[in-house]
Amino acid sequence: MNTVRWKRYGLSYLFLLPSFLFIAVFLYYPVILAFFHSFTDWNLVQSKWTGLHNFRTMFGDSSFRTGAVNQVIYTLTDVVKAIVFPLIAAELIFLIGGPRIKYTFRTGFILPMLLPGIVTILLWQNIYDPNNGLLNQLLTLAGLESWTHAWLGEDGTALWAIVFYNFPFIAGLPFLIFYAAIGNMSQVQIVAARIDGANGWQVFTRIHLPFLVPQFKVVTILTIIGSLQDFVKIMVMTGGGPGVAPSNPAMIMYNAAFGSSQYGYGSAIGVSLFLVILALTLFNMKFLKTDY
Amino acid sequence: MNVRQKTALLLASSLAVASLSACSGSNGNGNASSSASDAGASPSVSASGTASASAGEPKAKKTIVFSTITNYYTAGLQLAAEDYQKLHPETTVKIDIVSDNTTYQTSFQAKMAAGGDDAPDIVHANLLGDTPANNVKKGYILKLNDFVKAPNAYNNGTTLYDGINGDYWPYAYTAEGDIFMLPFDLVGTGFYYNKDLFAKAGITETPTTWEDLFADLQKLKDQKIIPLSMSQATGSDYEGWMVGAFEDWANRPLIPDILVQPGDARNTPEVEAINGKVKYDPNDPFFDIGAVVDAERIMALWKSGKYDAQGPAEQKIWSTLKQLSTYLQPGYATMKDADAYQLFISGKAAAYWNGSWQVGQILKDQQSLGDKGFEWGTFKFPGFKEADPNFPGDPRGILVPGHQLAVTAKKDADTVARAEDFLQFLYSPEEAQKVFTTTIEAGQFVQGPSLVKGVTLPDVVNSYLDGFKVAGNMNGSIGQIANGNPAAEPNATAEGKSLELQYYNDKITLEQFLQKKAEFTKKTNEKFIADNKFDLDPKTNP
Repeated sequence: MNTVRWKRYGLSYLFLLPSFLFIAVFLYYPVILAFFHSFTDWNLVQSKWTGLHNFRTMFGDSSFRTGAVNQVIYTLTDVVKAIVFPLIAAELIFLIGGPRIKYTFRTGFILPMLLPGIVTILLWQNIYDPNNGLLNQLLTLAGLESWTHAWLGEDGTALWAIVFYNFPFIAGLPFLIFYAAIGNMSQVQIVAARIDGANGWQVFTRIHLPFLVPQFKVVTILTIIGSLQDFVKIMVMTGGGPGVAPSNPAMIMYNAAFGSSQYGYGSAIGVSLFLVILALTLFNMKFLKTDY
Repeated sequence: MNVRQKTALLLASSLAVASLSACSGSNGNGNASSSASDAGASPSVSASGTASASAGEPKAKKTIVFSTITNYYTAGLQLAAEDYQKLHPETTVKIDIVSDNTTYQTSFQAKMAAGGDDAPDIVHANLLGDTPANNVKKGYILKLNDFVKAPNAYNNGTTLYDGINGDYWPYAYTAEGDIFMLPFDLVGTGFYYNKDLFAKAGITETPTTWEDLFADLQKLKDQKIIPLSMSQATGSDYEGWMVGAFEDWANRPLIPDILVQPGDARNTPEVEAINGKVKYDPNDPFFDIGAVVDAERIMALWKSGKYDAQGPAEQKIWSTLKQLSTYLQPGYATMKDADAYQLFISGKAAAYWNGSWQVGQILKDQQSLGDKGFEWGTFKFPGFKEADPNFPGDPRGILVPGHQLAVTAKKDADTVARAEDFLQFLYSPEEAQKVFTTTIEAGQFVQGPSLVKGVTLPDVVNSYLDGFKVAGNMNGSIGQIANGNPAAEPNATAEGKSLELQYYNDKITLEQFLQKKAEFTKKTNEKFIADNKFDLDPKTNP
């Protein structure tokens, strides 16, 4: 760096340095360690090189395979939930008249973002409670007692109960992203389309959707990352049970590392998740190509 | 003398002073496992038995940390810490309350792996995430052999060994014959029941056999009452205690086979002294008290096929447990114990399976309920109506010291000495009595009867604890020959539970379940054998 640049930007670099050092020490270094330890039998005290053993164990483990299939379901449904429902909500609010009503609805959808996630999870755990839960009580009131279940306690329903957690799935961040993008659309195009005879559906599918592709890309990537990393709601709502019915790889990774000190095996699962996220992200970027 | 020489001299002098002061803080022989008297922290005892600090105490202020779990004697321990600090202003005892067992285990192992400086000084030996023997071997907790034999100035010179109920000392030994913990109280498992709901269903006597229990549970079910609440969720799968009790019952004659024996690589004179007394007798439920089990022998016994893991005993165990599952609350497979307890205390479930440590909580909740409270009692794990040769003698359950206090192996001998001194104070009859009384008054968990001699509990509490005094303590390891997962790995536990639930939910037959369980046992036991490099010859040390 020449003297002029150093004089001009030196202070900025200095301010950036501590943050970068923290990121390097507490994020990049553990990630590199995890890559290394995924090839070892590591219990925090001793580490022994075992080559691909952890990865072979992982793919040979029937629980992991169940978890992987579950993860596909979680991720696909998470992506659908993160795109479809917030988009519908954003479109509807955009369409309704009156800034005050728009503001009220917008605030109503965003306010739940302020709630700690754990509160929402516990709330839904209570909704699903087989003895006192809202869902079973509503079904009983409607005369559908035979439809009641121990939603989180039966292996046929536990996974889907977790999938339907937070219905109607209008997550604050995707909603905001879509709403902001729709608000920024050029009204000239839409008015021109209307003059040419386009109906509402055609405006939505031919103008709105293509315009929102970059937003779909961002939301999809963020959702995939979040979905593959998430095991908190499974852990809190069901403890991973019944059996392995709703389990996912992140849950198995947590159990291996922190439940039986198999940090090497846990690292192998973590590395695999990282590679899957990377591959899906690259695929997503290529598939949903945009000019910007 | 030039500046450099002066600096060197100053540095050397400083180092010498520092070394001397460090020595004065220890007993001088580098043995961290010193007794309180060695460390010069022993109090003198007045005629009334109260202790006061002696002139030889270390003057420096220091904090020792007693790590415990939420609600377990926390109010009582806090009081003991305050009482101790009145006697020893130079030592602050911090009662560090950890929220759950998993955090406790993970935190301790991580802190010790990092050198141990930040680890607590007094810990629960049974919550450390590894076997006591391994924790001693790894240098995480101390051998207390000398400490328990040292006179306790807070108890008129009576040693801890003599001041604690002698029946339960055998549980305090590692496989190498070292004492690793101090027993504080006794815990047991059993059924709580709502007398009002039982009476409403026409049940006048508590069941003593499985047949009677099922008949009673059916009567309750007919009344649209949840017959029994029991958690089988991950982390609180209390059905495991029943499985353990059944396996112990069915396999009891084989227990001598899994004990360390003369000629074994892991045998020591101390172990031989304990295990040498073990003679199997179906009518003596205490025949193996404190016996030291050998993990390699368990695996060798499993491999020998001496026990038919798909035979009549297993069929009876699992069909009984399946029948019991039909009387459990909906959602039992993932319902946490706190929620299962809520069903019982709110009068929705007629019975509740748990341990004696819940008595304090129920007493407190009954007080809070006032007029809405109910009469309650306890009863034991039942037997079978007809004698079955596959299940000799009476069933046993959990009946072991609950609070098992150990001392962390810290490098600082003075800290260790202070921790040991506090333990001597805590185990004095007066202070232990205060801990129990305060705990009950605060509505916290008194886990069971005190093992400190001289401590008494109110009659009402004792009457509730009766249901937990089962016929002896089950051997918790023998079940590995039938159910595997000797390392208790959470992922394997979930897999095993999954099989069980498939059977309970009629997705597989009993035969299929036992077949799959045998395969699961093979997989997990083989892995355990490989991980531990066992050659299945206990005479050789792998």
